[in-house]
Amino acid sequence: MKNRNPLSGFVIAGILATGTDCASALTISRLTPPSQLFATNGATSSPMISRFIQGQRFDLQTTVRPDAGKTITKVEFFVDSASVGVANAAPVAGVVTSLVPATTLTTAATPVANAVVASVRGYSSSVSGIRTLTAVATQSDNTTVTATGSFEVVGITQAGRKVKNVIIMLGDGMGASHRTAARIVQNGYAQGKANKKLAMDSFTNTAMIMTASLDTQVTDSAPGMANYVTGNKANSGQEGVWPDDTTAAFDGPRMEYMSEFLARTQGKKLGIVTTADVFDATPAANAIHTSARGNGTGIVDQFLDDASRTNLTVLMGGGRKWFLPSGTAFDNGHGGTSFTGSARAVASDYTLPADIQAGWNAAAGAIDTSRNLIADFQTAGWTYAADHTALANAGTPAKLLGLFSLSNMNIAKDKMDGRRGVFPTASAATTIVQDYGFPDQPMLDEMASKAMHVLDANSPNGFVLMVEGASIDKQAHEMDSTRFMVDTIEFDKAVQKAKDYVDGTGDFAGNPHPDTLVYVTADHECSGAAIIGASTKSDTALQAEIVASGNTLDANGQPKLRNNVVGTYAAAGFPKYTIAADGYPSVWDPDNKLLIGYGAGADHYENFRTRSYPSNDTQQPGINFAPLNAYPRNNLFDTAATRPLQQNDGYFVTGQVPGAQAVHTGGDIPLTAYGRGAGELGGTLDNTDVFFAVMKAVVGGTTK
Amino acid sequence: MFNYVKNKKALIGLVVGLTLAQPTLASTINFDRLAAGANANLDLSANALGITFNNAAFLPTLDGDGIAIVGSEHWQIDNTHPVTAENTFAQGWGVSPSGQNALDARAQPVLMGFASAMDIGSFSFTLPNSTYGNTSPTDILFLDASGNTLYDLVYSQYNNPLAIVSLLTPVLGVKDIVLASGTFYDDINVAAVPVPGAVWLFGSALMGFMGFLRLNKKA
Repeated sequence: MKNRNPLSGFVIAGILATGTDCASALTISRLTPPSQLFATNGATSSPMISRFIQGQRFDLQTTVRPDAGKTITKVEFFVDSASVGVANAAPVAGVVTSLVPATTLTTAATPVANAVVASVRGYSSSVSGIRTLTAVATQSDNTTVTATGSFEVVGITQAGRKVKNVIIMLGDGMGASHRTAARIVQNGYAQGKANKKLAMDSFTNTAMIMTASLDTQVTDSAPGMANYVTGNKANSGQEGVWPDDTTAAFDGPRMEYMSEFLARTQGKKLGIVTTADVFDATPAANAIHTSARGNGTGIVDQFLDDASRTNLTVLMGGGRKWFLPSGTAFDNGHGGTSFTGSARAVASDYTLPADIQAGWNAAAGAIDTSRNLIADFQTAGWTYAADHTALANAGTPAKLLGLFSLSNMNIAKDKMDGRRGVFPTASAATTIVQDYGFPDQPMLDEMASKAMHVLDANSPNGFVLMVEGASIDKQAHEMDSTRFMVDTIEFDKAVQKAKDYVDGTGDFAGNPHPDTLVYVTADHECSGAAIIGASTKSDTALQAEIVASGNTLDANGQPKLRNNVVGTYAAAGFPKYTIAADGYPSVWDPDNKLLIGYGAGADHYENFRTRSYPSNDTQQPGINFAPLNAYPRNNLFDTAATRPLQQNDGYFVTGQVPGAQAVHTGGDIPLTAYGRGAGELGGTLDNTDVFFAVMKAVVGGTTK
Repeated sequence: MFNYVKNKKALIGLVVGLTLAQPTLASTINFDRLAAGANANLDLSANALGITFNNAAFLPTLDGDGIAIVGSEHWQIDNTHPVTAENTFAQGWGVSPSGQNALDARAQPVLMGFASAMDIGSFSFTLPNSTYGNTSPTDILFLDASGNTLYDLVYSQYNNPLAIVSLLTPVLGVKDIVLASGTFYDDINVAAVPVPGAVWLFGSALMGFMGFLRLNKKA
């Protein structure tokens, strides 16, 4: 509502009479935290969109569009009528408020002159209840405009013993079918019953999780992860921030992560373990605040620069390309072409404005593409492991960095083939992990176990550990059934390590940790994967059928290969895989193998056999150099002309979605929980509800 | 346990004396004479006041079938884990106010129980030299023998290093004090007088404690 002087009516009448664009009228167009009250002009019904636990920090922010020819002189924020900050100047050292140009608007095709973003950084409230947030903006002619929203501070009462350690096992893209497929492959069924449950099946409590992000029913991994560990909804591609109206990638209005809050208030340590590049959305969305999930240089810099604030103690995965100084050459050591292994770039680096530094005690950052980040980690006291052997020999150092590939680590199936000395084709002279240049990569369960040992030895006040099975999602995108299933198996072996940590079994024999909560969940489902049945053929017969039928149609115009191979209902039976001593299927294509269909798949060719090579990974710096440049492509941005479709020796499957990759889906996903506080997780929950259930157990204690 | 007390006459005299005089019992409990990690109930200063420390949980009463009775939740002893004294510095919470140890209530509320109901004249404690702690207003609950809350002492744990938290008004008939979880408690000062009707109970319990101490000593 505006509060104008008596002449304002004449001014408005004049504007209307001359047809001037009313979009420039003094307006508050965004109020953060997001609020249903603000969005729907007075609605007060549940759900309360933004919620925080007592003392959890977040930024207050608003975007103000002034009248034409005017400027905004100040914005004052009120919570329940009490002033909590006045933003009236550009960022200044030591000051938590700021008034800056809304560059998204001021540089738009139809610019909004003098639009501003006003912020109060690092606000928190310890008083529980529904709170009213009001922003009052004053224009250069003293006209004011007010917007009102709301948020909730969720009270936590003491109940019993607290959860000391939180282990989040995040199977990226892992829906119910991915879990079931892994169970069938790994354990088999007999007469209708699973011979054995997966580790994640054996957990005591189960919930169904709604995964939507702030702006869409189908989330990507950035908000998909962040929503679990902030208790708030983020937009697509954004990590630990709400959307704003500036073009900068690292200045978005922040919300405090579980890891940050527990480091600040309880001294807990943080561990992040992934099979992806460590800059990837899921790992980053546990500690990094950015509106651009792709800005890897700044993301990995912040891992170290803010380690004293997050208590980051273990960081493991791929992603060495961000840690190498720009221009660093790399070759795979097996005859590949040399190329630049560093991906550090000015465009993806970061600096933070002074108000964020002041409000969050955050590092300033720097544009420093020549930074040797591995050396900086080591200088800061971190032990660095470059491969599986070094990891195994690392002991339990105070802090551990493991970077096992240039970008995303190789997929479990290909790592196992590397260990077994299996080549992708009869004519191949190198294994896939050799082609990538990293023949000695650890499996996820080995990384997870090491992370737990290191954190256990260095965390008298407990820890938060996130372990991600990343390529469940990445290979489901590629509709590569074998690779996503084997990655799910690898992930479940890591889950078993977490269960062993609780129980004092396996790698942790005799040393139980009953005050630990483990939960297995996913950020979203990927590909609409469905267990459709099994092959009716032996593998030998299947190969013959592929040659015989190829991409031909039968008399009814249907694919011959599909109709001759896919067994449904009783014809599917129970596929039987034999498990080798290393714990993985001894062959990837047994007779009568399990078959997967893709409800959210893209156009592709299918022949049901395991692809010899994985699809080329656009994140790899060496993608355009031998040997990776010869890997099959199935990349999202390829055109039909440039894209030789994967495995084009099968039949063509028309996809449900455009593009070359299967997509995430919006269906609920299963969560299973084990250990102290597991009983807090049950029913059908929003992903943000999980945060509050877990924090209740960590902060207030639990009897469940 | 009475049999283990050597000087029975003196003990009986003490109990009778307590009964007649109802002296104010006061002590400062700082756990510094214990080894880090030791059971807090071995602290002699606490023993002298008949104080015990047990972890606490807010649980319902169960009916005959073991089903929780709705609305019956109250603070109860949870002996799954012992209450220990810890070296705060070793735990990353700074040097304790008393120099070494403090009562570890990081993980669970601690029920600080008296042998019998007491009239609390004064009560205070010192927070550790750390910024850690719950960010919400935190409660110290003074309970009567039935578990009813007589008084709620609200204080702030977070970013409040070395703060001394004091009870500003006497509270009568206190059987237990619930020390909120989330921090360490050091230099716990208590001045209390047994409730007249409970003096005999107090005396008996004190004798019991002395016997317990003697048993421990023998062991």
